[in-house]
Amino acid sequence: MTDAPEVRLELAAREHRPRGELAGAFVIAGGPPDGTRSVEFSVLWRTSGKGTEDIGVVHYRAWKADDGTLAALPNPSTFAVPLPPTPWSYDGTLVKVHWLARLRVRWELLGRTREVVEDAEFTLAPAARS
Amino acid sequence: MPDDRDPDPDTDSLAPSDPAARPDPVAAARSGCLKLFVGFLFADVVGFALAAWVLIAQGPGWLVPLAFVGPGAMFLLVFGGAEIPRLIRQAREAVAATPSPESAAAVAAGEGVEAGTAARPRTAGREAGDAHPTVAVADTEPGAALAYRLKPVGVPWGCQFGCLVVAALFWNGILSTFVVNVVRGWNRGGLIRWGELLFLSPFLLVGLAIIAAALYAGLNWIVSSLVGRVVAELSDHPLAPGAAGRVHVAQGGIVPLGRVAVWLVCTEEATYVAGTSKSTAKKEVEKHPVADPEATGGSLPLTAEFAVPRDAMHTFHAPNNKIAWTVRVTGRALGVLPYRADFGFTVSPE
Repeated sequence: MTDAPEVRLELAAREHRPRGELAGAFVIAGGPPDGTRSVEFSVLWRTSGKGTEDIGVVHYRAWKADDGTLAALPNPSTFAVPLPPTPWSYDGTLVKVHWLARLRVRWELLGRTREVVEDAEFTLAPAARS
Repeated sequence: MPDDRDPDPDTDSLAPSDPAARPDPVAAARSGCLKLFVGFLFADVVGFALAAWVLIAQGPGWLVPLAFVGPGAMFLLVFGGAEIPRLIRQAREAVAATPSPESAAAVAAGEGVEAGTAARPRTAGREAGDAHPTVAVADTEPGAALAYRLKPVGVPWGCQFGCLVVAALFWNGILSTFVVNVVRGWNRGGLIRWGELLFLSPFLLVGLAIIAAALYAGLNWIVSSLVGRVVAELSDHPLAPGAAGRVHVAQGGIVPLGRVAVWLVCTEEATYVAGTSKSTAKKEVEKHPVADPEATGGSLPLTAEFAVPRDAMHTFHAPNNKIAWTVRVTGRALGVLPYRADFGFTVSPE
C-alpha cells in the first residue's frame, strides 16, 4: 500500500456536559496499512491561542505492532469514554480550550515512518455556557 | 461491531518497546551530531594554527585565509559528505520515533488521568487525581468580617519601583557615556552628527520609558503606603458560576480611600516563548461591577452583595495558559491619587 489509509472518526454528539460520556466510532478503511507500527486513540483537551500549547489526556489507548496488540485492534471500533468535569471548552482572546477525540496511525513505508491524524472536536460545557 | 467499552487495562501499550530490539535513533542522531561538531571544531583549530604559522613565517597573504578555512572545508567535504546524509536520515528516524504528544501526556500521569505536558499546577488543598486538576484554588486566610480573606496578587508597587530604579540607573548610566561623547563632539565641531543621533534615539527612548515607568511605580508605591493595608474578604470561597456572595473591603492606612469601587475581573494569561526568553501576555476579558461609589458612598469599610455571572468560565490553571479571577478595588487617595489592588479568588466549576 502506498497511499495514506482512509481514517474516519465520528462522534455521536458534538456537545457534551461535564461528567458526561463521549460516544463514537472509528474505522481504518481496509484495515491498518502494511507496516503499521501503532494505532493510538485518545480523548484530550488542548489549548490554543497566544500561549504555548498545554495538553491534557483523559483517555488513551494504543495498539502496537511491537507488543502484538495491533492484531487485536477492532476495526471498526466503538468507544464510550467518561468525560471529566473540567476544563470546560473556552473560546477566549488569548486562551482557548478545545476538546477532541484523536486517532493517530503510524506506519512504515520504504524505511520511513509516516502518520495520519484524524481529530473530531466537541465541546464540554455546562448548560449555562452552551 | 467490536466495542472497547470494557476498561481493558492496556497498560503494556504505554510502555516503550524493547530497547534492545532496535537502536535508539535519538541517541544515534545526537552522537552523530556531536562527532560532526567536535570534528569540525578540531579542523577549525588546525586551520587557526596553520593561519598563525603562515603569518609568523611571513608567507604570502593569500595563503592566510586559505590556511584558515581549508581544514574546515576539507573536513566538511570528506567527512560531512558521507556523514550529513546519514545524520539527516537519523534525525528523521528520531522524529518518527518520538512518542506522540498524547502518549507522552498519558505516560506522565497514567491512562485515564488528566495529564499535562509539564509539571502539574499547584492546587492548594487538593490531592493528585482530584476531579479538577486544572482548577487551582486560590489561597485564603480566615477573615475578620467575613469567612475568607483574599490575598493580593501581583508584584507590590515598592518592589516594582526598586527594580525599575535599578534598571533605569543601569541602562541610562551606560547610555550616558555615549551621549556625553556625542555632545562633546558637537561642542568641539559645532556640527550635529545626524547619524549618531539617529543611532542613539531608540536607546534614549527606552531609557526615558524606564524612567517614566519608575516614576509611575513610585507614585503608586507612595499612594499604597498612604492608604495602608487594604483587605478584601468573601463570605464563600470558592464560588461557582451563578453563586451569590458578599464581599467586604476595609483599609488600615492613615489616608482614607475615597470613591471606592469593587469589581469582579477575569483575566487571561498566556505564556509563550519569544526568542530565547519566555513572555506572558495578559488580557482582561470580563469586568463586572460589584460596588459603585455612587450607590455606596465610596468610603471604606464597605460590604456589598454580588453574584458570579452564570455563564462565567471557571478558573483555569495550566502550565502555559491561565484564566484567573480577581476582586479589584479601585479608589482615590486625597481625592486625586488613583489606587488599585487585585485580590485573587477562584471560580469553581461546581
